Amino acid sequence: MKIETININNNINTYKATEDTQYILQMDTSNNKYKSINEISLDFILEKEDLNLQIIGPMIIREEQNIKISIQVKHMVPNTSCEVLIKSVIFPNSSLDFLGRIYIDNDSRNTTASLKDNSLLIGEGARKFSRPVLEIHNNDVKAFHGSASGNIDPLSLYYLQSRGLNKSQSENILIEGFLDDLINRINDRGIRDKLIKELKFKEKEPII
Amino acid sequence: MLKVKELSIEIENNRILNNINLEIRSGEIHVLMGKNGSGKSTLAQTIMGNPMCKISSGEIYFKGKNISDLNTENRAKQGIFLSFQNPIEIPGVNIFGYLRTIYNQTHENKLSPVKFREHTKKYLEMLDLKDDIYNRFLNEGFSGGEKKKLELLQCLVLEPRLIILDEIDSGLDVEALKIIGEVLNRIENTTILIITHYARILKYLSPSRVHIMSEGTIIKSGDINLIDQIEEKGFK
Amino acid sequence: MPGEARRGLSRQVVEEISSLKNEPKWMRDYRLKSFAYFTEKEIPDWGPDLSKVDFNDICYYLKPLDKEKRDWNEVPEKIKKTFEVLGIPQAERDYLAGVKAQYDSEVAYSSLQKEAEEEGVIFLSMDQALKKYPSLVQEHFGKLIPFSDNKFSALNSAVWSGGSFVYIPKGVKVKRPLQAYFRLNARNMGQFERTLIIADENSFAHYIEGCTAPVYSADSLHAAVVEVYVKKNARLRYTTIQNWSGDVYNLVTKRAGVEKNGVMEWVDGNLGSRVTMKYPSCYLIGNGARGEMLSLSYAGENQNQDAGAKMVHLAPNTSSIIVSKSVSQKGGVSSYRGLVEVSPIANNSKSHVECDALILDSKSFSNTYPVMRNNNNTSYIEHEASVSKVSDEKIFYLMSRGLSKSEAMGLIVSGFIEPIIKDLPMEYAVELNNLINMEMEGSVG
Repeated sequence: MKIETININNNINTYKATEDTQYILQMDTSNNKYKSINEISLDFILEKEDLNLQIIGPMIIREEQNIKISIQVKHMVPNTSCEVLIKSVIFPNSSLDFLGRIYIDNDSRNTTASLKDNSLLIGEGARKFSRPVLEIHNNDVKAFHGSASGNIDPLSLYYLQSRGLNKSQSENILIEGFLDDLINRINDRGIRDKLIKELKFKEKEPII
Repeated sequence: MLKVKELSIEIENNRILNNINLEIRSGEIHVLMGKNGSGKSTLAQTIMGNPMCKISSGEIYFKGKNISDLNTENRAKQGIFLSFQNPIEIPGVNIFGYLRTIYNQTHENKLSPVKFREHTKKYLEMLDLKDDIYNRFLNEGFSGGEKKKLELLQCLVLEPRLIILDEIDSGLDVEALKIIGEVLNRIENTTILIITHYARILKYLSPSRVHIMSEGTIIKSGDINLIDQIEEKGFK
Repeated sequence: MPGEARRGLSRQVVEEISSLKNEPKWMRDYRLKSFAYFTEKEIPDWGPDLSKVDFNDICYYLKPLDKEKRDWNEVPEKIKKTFEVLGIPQAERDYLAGVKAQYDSEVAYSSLQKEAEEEGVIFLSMDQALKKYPSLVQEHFGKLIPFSDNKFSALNSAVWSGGSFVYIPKGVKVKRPLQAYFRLNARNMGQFERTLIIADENSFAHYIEGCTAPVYSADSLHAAVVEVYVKKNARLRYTTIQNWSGDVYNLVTKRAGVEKNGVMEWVDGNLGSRVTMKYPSCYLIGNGARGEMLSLSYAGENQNQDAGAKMVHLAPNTSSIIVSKSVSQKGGVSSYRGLVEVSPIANNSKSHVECDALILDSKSFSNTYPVMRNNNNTSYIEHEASVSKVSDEKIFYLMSRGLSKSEAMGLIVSGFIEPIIKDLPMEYAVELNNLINMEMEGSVG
C-alpha cells in the first residue's frame, strides 16, 4: 500500500488515487496556524476499480484554535473500498467542525465504505460539531459511519489515579491511548515515530 | 437417496470442485473429511443449491430426481437439510415464530402456536435447551455452541430425509458435543452426511462410508477403518 | 361562498375560515399574522423537491361532506389488494379509498371520548377546545412552534382546522391509548390539522394517530403542526403511522417541550405519501429530561421519505435516543435528517443515535444527514449509521429452510425493523408485517 502524507492547510485539495493508498493527515502545529477559522476541504475520488483507500487523521486542537475540515470520499466505480479514521483531542475553548461525506454512486457496485470520527473533549469550552453524511445510490454496498464526542471516561481516570498518578498524568496517558490505536494503523514506521514524538504529551507541559 | 455424478463446480470462475462422484443410500451415514480448503463445505453448499456455486458439469440426483436445476427452497421442501458451518445471524427474527413458519411451510398439517410449542417440547429437552430461547432472535448473540444447537433444532423441526452436517462439531465443548451426538443417534430413518476435519463426533455415530477430499476431489473412500489411518498419518 | 370548494389562499380566505368557526379575536389575528409570514417566506432549499406544489391550486377549507369522492373503479389495484391483506371490512374500505366521504364514526368517536372523560382527561377536537377551554389553549397554542418557525408551520397557523386537543391532569395515568384515528375518524382528518397535547405533572398517556391502511387523500398538501407539553415528571408517547395514498406532500412540524424529569417518546411510521418531511423534536428544557424517537420509513416507487429527529439539550443530565430504520425499494429515496445539540450548560448529558438503512435494489437511494453539536465537554454524543442491502447469505440461509425468496426477504426486513415494531400496539405490528410481506412479493425478481 502506498503511503502519502497530506499537510492540512488552507487549500481545497482533490486526490485521485491510482493504487491502494494510505493517506495520513498531518496538522501543522507550528505558530498557531489554525488560530483563525480555517476551512480545509479534502476530496478523495475513487475513479479506478479495485482500489482500497485508508485515510488516517490524528488531530490535536488546542490553544483556542478552531478548525473546520471537510473530507469527502466519492466512490464512482465498482469494487472499491475506503476507510476513514479521524480521532481528535480538543482542548479548552478550541473546536473542531467536521464534515465527513461518503458518496457512493449508482455505478459503484460492490463498495465498502466506513468513516469513524471520535473526539475527546478536554476541559471547559471544548466543542465539537460533526456531520457524518452518507449518500448511497445503489444497494450493493456496505457503508457505515460512527461519530462520538465526549470527555475522558471518569472511571478510567479514577483507575489510574488509584495507582498513584496525578490527574494530568492520568489524562495524558488516556489521551495517548486514545490516539495510539490510530497511530498503530499507520504503515510507515518513520511517520509513526514522528507523529508519536509530535503528539507525545509526556514531553510537553501539562495543559490542564 | 443422494447421487452426485461427475460434478464440477465453479465459484466466481474458479474451479473449486472437480469431477465429484458420491452415492449415499437411504439410511446410511457417510463422513467426508479433508483439510481446510479441500472443498468439503462447497460440496455441501452445492447440494443445498447455493447460487454462488455454479455447476460447470455433472448432475445431482435426490430420491431419483435430477435436482441440479432446482432452487434452494424447493430442495429444502424435498427434504434436504444443511446445518451451516457458520450459521447466519438474522437480527430481529423471533425464533419461535420462525420455527413455526418453517414447520408450517413443509408440513401438510399446520400447527397453531400452542400446538407447536407442545410439539417441540421434546426437541428442546433432547438438546438441553430452555424455552427462553424462543424469545431470542435468530442466531443473534449466540455462542458457537448455541448456534450449532439451533441448527439441530431447526433440523428436528423440519424432519428432513437427508441431513448434511457441515462441521457440526467445531466450536463445541465436551458437554455440547455429547448432547448433539446423542440427538443424532436418536434420529431414525435418516440419511446423514457428516463433514468434519476431526473425528470427534464419530464417537457417537457409526458411519458406513468415509471419504477423503483434497483440492476439490474425493481422493479416497473406504470404511470406518479409514479413520484410524487418517488419525495416524493425517490426510494423505 | 362559505363551504364551497374554493381554491387558492388569500387574506380573505383566512378571515372567512376564522369567522366560519366563530373564533375569538386573538386567534383570528394570529392566523392573519401567520398568513403574512407564509407569503413572504421561501420554500426550503434543502430536502426533497417541493417545486411542484401549487399553493394556488389547493382548497384550504372544506366541510367534510364536500370533500371530493371517487368511484371504486378508480381505486388502484394495489390499494384494493392492501385492504385484502389487512383484512379491512368493506364499509371501511369505501371510506378509506375516498369512495365515501364520511364514515359513521360518531358512535366510535364519542365512546372514546367518554372513556377519556371518566379518567378526567380532556380529549376534544381542536375547534371544540378553543371554545370550551379558551385560556388553556391560548396559554399553550403556538408557544412551542411559533408560526415563524418555518413556511409550513406558518401555513398551518393560518388555515388550521381539525386536529386534537388533549389535556391530561396532574397525576393521571391514562390506561388505554388515546386513539385519535383508527381508520374511523372522519372529522379530524384533514390537511391542516393542529394538535396540542398537554401532559401535566406526573401524568402519563399514549396518544396514537393514523393507521397502516392506505388512506386516500385527494388533497395534495398536508401541513400539520403538533405541539406537546410534557411537564415535570410526566411521560407522553405519541405514535403516528401514516400511509397516505395518492400524490400527497406530507410536511409536518412536531415538537415537544420536556420539563424536569419528563419523558417524551415519539414513534413514527412513514409508509405513504409521495413526499414526507417530518422531524419530530424534543426540547429538553428541564434537568433530567429525556427524549426518545423511534422512526420507521418505507420508501417505495416514486416516494421520498425525508424524516428524522431533533434533540436539543438545554439543561443538565438530559438524555436522548434516536433510532431510525428505513427501507427503500423500487427507486424510492429515504433520507434521515437529524440534529442533536448539546448546549454549554447541558452538563452530563448523553445522546445516542442509530440509523440503519436497507436498500433492497439497485435503483433506490438512502441518505443520512446527521448533525451533532456538542458544546459541553462533560456530555457524550454518539452516532452510528449503516447502509446495506439484504445479504445473499441471509437469503440463502432462509431459503435452505424452505422459505421462498420473497418470504425470506419479508422475514429479514421484518427482523430489521423489529426494534421499532416491538413498541407499537399489537394490531399495528401485525398489519405492518403483513404490508411488508406484500411489498416483498412484488419486488423479488
